[in-house]
Amino acid sequence: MIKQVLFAIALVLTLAVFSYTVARLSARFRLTCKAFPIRNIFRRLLLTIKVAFVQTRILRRPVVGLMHALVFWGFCVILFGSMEMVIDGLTAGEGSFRALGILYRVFIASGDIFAILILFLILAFLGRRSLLKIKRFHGPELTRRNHLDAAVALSLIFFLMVSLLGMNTFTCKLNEISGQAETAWFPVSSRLAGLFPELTPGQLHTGHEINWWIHILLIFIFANYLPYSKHFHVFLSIPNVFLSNFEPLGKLKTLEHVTAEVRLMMDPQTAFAAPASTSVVRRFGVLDIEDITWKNYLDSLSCTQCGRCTSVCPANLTGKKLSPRKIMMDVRARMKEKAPGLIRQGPGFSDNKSLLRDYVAVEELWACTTCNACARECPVNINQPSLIVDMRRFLVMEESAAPAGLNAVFANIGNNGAPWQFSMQDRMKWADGANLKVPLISELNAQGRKPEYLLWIGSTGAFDDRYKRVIRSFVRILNYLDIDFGVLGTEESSSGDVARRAGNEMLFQMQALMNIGLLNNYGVTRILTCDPHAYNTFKNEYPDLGGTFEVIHHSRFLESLIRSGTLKPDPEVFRDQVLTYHDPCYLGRANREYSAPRSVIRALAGGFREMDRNRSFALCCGAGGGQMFKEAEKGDREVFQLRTDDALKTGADIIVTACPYCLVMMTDGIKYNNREGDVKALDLAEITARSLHL
Amino acid sequence: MSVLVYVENWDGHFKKASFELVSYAAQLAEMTGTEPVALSIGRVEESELRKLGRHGIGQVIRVEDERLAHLDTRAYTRVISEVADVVKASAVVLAHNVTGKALAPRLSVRLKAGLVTAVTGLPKSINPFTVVKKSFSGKAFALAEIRTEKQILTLAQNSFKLVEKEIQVVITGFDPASTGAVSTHVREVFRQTGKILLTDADIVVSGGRGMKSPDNWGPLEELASLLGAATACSRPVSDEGWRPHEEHTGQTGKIIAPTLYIAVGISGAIQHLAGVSSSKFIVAINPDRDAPIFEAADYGIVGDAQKVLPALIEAVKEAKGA
Repeated sequence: MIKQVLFAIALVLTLAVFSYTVARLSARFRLTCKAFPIRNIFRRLLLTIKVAFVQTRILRRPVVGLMHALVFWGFCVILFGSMEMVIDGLTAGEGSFRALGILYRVFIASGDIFAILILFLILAFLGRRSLLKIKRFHGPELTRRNHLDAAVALSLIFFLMVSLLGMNTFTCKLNEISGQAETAWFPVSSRLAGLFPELTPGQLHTGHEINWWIHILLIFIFANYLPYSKHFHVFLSIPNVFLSNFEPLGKLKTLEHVTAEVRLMMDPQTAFAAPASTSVVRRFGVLDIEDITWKNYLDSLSCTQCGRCTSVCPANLTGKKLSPRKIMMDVRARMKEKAPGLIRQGPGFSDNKSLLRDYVAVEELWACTTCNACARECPVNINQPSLIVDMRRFLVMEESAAPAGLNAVFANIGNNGAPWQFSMQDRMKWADGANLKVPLISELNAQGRKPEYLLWIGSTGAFDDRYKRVIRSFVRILNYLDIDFGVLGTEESSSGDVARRAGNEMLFQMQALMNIGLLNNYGVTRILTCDPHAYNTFKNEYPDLGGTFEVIHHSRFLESLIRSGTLKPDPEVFRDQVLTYHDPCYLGRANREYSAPRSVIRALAGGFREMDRNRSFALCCGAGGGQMFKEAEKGDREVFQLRTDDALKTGADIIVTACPYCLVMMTDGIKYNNREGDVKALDLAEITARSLHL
Repeated sequence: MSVLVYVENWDGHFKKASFELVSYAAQLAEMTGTEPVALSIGRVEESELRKLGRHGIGQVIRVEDERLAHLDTRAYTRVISEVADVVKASAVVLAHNVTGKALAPRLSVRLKAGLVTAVTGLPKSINPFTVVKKSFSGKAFALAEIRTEKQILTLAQNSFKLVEKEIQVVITGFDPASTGAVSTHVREVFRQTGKILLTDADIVVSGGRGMKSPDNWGPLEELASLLGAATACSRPVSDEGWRPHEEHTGQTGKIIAPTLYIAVGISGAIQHLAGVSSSKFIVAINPDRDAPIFEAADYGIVGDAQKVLPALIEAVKEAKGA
């Protein structure tokens, strides 16, 4: 009876503290903005099973991944026993779930095995943290407190397991003496029991009770410690996965109030006829904690500072200040700092600080290549790049505070529809004197014809003398097959990808709406392009603004032609050469296209060698997210150099890629290594054209 | 009540843009039923000031304080706002140029007046005060509303037609009570001599990684001095410290447009060409005949710089001697 009362008091206390924590957190969530609607419950459940319960993301690193997965699965099983303990404690019973029969035995038995497993794994984790110098566990953002937090949480788990095993061992002993029918199997504890000397039943009972109380109290303490610890992920990672954003990684959120503005601006008639917009937007982009979405905050609470994101970040790897993990930690810390004031005094509250600048430095934001390696790596589906871009949006749209190189890009895109200062009238010069058939869609349209495909050239294709060759190679293949296509010619204008990722949502939407209007006018339904950035923007981002097209990247296009036997490459051309392939982020991670380019290369050449980091693990070339057009932030190296090292390490003669930016970066990297004599960077279209002797 | 327009002068003279501005202010005053007043700071002849009267402004205030001979945004702001108070200006109009853009925001704070920049025409309505302004490099227009009692406008250039309307001009001197502390004094103006500025140069000789080593720059510099050209380089060259950073031309460096651009050992990556493509003639020297630079070049020499440059120097010397 006394035990029952004591237990009830402990439980009520636990629940009280926990409810307080929940109330506090929900008040904080109420400060955030809306993110996206939660639909597709079934799909979400499947994702949760895959990512949370099967631990697919964690297992991207097989060894340590399996260690974590075992602890996780063990927790799930042991949780069953803990629930039983709570019922036992309240009813003064013992083995309340016994009625479940065989299932009960299986649970208890596997819990017993997992307990010892987890115990040793936790020791291994502690040892790993304190003895091995694992790079991702260190970083300027990790304070002593963070390290202590990790140690405390791991130790708590350790003692939880010790007490669980203790409890089980005493139970075994007691059963042994009393000759009681075996109520559960304890494969581990029964052996531990053999190690103990003979004790009186009274002593055994006391031993059991002590362990029982230690275990349950530790659980109560643990449950209330977690929400204040980085280990909150124990509770939140499953909901965070369930509430993932289902959009492809390459898609950035469309700011609707910007769309309204842009539509008005682009049409002076409606602009000046319409009354001034009544809904007032607080600000564009993210400056402080009240501008983030609930998902950003949930992300920050779900982050356990494992550093997988930071360990794959190209900016971080090259010594730049950006660490995606830090961004998440900053969000959580800033919320903790500002929330009380905001809750007390309402939205007017200011402490003269902000998330941007006081926590996240501008330099960190501008180091991001938006390669999405961090988001791809995160075991609990946190999305860091979208928040980085949201903060850039504030800098650009509210303060015009972009790096000089990017401001020039914005002006150029605004003036002449390309990131560089070239005239729109020169957009077709790539075809000059090349003896190619390049029908203009405007002319086809005048004849009442509609081509099957629109070929999107892109600004690099139009103006980069090196990349013009890629376009010519691809068009040569199209001509060779007599494919019915047209180009926009001088009517083409930047897709807006760079502007958007650099934070200039307004300019992006202007470009997008302009292009969509043009494409829809010509009745375009299928777009072919060699540029993964244009591909991503058309495929994932234009639909929000009224442009729905079937978009085909040339890698997939070439692959299907080779697979169907329409294209018959000559295997002799690259017979003696070794080729490697660099995955463009916006083809690979953003749109999961890894196989098509590889199939093409394998069909053309005998010697294909993967780099160590490939497919979804591939390192960015360093040019995305506007980096192509600005000075690199301060660091040890440039990203393209690191990536070229990866490529050169394969001993390849040709670095194949499928993106205009990647091609520029790989070409530069080869030059920096003084290898232009023996290594070439070529696009997929170029090697295909060569294999066809075109 | 009045509309105050600040009219900038260039060495004591006004430009067409100044008269556009004055025309605009006069029309605005007519619309709002107020008096247009022009303010001139610095030394301007009376005959020049009288020209303002041709566009409908009868009242000109002139400030000829010696300390205000050069633009000092703080001091000018104080003077303009003081005058604005004296003439009870309900609106202040400035040009949308460097000066106007520097002064307008400060005035806006000081006079507690709403500011709209790059305005393209007279207000659409006075109450509420709404005007059309340019945005996105003139690609789009925005309708802006000012809700404060006073307004400040900067007028986009070439967007308002001159209005001819002869009026008798009354010029009054004005001594500002305070100019505040003039924070900058221009003591002497040096004009660049000797070394040719890269951005001004008519001919530029530029070297890239193909030069192979910083020690190989001798012939390139010799050619430049023979041609009276400035020297430049590509980004990797300045990154490696072979040449000073000021010589870096290209997307993230200087953007130049000389008559003749000689690219030596430069492959022609877009990041470089983006900064030099407006050159009238491009001559490329590169050992790789497939280098993209030859696509952009008007003339090309396939060959190693160390061999081509001395020959070229000889040829230039010969041509000059002849």
